[in-house]
Amino acid sequence: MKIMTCPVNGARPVSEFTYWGELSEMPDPATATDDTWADYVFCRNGAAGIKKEWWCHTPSNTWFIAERDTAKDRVIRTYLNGEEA
Amino acid sequence: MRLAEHAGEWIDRTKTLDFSYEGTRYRGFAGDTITSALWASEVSVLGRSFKYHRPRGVLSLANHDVNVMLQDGARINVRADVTELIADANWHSVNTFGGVAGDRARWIGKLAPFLPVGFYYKAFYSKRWFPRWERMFRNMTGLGQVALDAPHIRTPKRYGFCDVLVIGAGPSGLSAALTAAERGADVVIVDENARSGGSGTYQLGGDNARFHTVRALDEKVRAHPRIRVQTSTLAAAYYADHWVPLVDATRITKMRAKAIVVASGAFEQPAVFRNNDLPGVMLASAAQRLAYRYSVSPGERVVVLTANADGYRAALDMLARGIVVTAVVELRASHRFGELAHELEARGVEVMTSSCVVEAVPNKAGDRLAAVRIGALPPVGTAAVSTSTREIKCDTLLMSVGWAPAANLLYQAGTSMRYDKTVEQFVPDRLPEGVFACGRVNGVFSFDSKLQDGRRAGELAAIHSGHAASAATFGEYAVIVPAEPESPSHAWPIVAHAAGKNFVDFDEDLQLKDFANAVQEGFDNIELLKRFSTNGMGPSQGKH
Repeated sequence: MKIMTCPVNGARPVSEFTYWGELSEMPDPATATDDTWADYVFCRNGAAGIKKEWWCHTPSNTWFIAERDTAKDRVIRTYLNGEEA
Repeated sequence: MRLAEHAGEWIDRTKTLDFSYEGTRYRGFAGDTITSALWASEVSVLGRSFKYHRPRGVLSLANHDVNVMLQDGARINVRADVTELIADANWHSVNTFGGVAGDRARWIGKLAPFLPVGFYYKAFYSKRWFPRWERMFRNMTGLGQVALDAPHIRTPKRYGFCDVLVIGAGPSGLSAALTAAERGADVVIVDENARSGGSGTYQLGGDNARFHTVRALDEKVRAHPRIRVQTSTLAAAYYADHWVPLVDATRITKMRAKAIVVASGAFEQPAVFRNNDLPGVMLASAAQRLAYRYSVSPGERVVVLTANADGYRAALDMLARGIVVTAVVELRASHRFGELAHELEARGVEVMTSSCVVEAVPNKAGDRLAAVRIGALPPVGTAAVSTSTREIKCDTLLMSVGWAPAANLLYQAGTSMRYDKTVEQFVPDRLPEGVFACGRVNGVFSFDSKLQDGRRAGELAAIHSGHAASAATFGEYAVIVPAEPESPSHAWPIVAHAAGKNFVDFDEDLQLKDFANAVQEGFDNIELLKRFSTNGMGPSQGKH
């Protein structure tokens, strides 16, 4: 089983974590065109590569961001939202 | 027949155990496996082959073949080669019709010419008749009989953690474990055998110094406070981030390591010639295991077929254990271990070069080897003929022609391998982070080189797991392990014979001609060839 590092609780088995989707910048709903908004709501980029994603350490309900290389199946780094070094 | 006592034997001669096989009572010692106890009692037919129901005996004595597969009620498909004696067990061979000696299905062997490779793909496809064929096949080809009253066995799990996990407790694995522990790492070393020491305790070349070196290393490892030794424990798989399930008789341990050293060794491979499956024809390592672990004589008169230095050492081992060796048949024209050959010749063993075993000859009853026919090695692609051969009487033939790396875990971990012509085997090319290989699986066969390779891998694993901090401390072992003086494996130890019955896969009864036929039918890609012929798809999964 893979290991993931929670920014609060440290290295834990990946079964304790849940994936909550790709991190994407929300366009301003007031000014966004329908196309941009639809793209933000419905479209996900599934191409393999380096991804930024929301993850949650379920037992402690810690939400954080993980950077993963999905081509090499490797977690590059994890950090709490807004604490990116 | 039992041999004189040896310091490394696994049996306890003060404690006897009674058991029965095919309705006859036998007696063995505590520590014996079922196969070794039966072989000591002069039982040569221990099973029937899967397809042709040919008599089979010891091949690897290491669960690298399933010639000897037994059942006792709910204990089903038991690998007798590696299963210790249980008092009062009542064993029967699986896959026989009316007992192993007079198996009524042995007439199928006579039909062999009408059962070419893939015959059932062609003969039994009609939709209407299929249910009938299916019933027939389930009867014919099953292994053990399922016991519906089998007890439910609880198999608990636990979690384990360590810095360095060493898989395989042979010379290189022990030396890797000791080095990593000396650098401060917390080490677990596992081995599937009942005792540690690996080949270092039975491939001695008649030289007990090697045995004592490994014994001393083993004692150091066991005495080290940071090393945990687990024998009879199988490293069953490799999962992401160095997570390895360790399976023993009572439980599974989910071991999380920071680094892994794979020292899993190699599987000895049989030579291919006519009747190479006769009881009495066995791998040299099997005979060495019999002679040193269980003090059982493989036979009375031994001939060795070899294409590497290991074969000469096996012959010396047999002599050291008091067994008569009449001849060594060498496939190659010349080699670099002349001193081993001279030593054998000085002790009255005839050494024949550029020769091969053309055919193994059974005794009258057909249940044991009686002689081998020796001839000149025919050029690749041509069949040997039994005329102009020399017959040598013997009841045991040892085959020592090459090794295949036990690289399963390395492949699972994502290692890319390359074929190395100098050792005629696949060796790790690019290892994943934190995974290291040493010993035979790494293409290192010489005894001293194995110890050195183990130190190198142990050191690297300790560094990877955060010990032995700097590369400066690594300097001592950053030497390149010397190349092998010659290949331990022959590139083509295969002798075609017009009359066939030269087996490549003993599980599935595949003969050399089955491969030629499969290629002729268009299955000429190695993957297709494997699936069409079912080569390596039997219970031993390609280990021989």
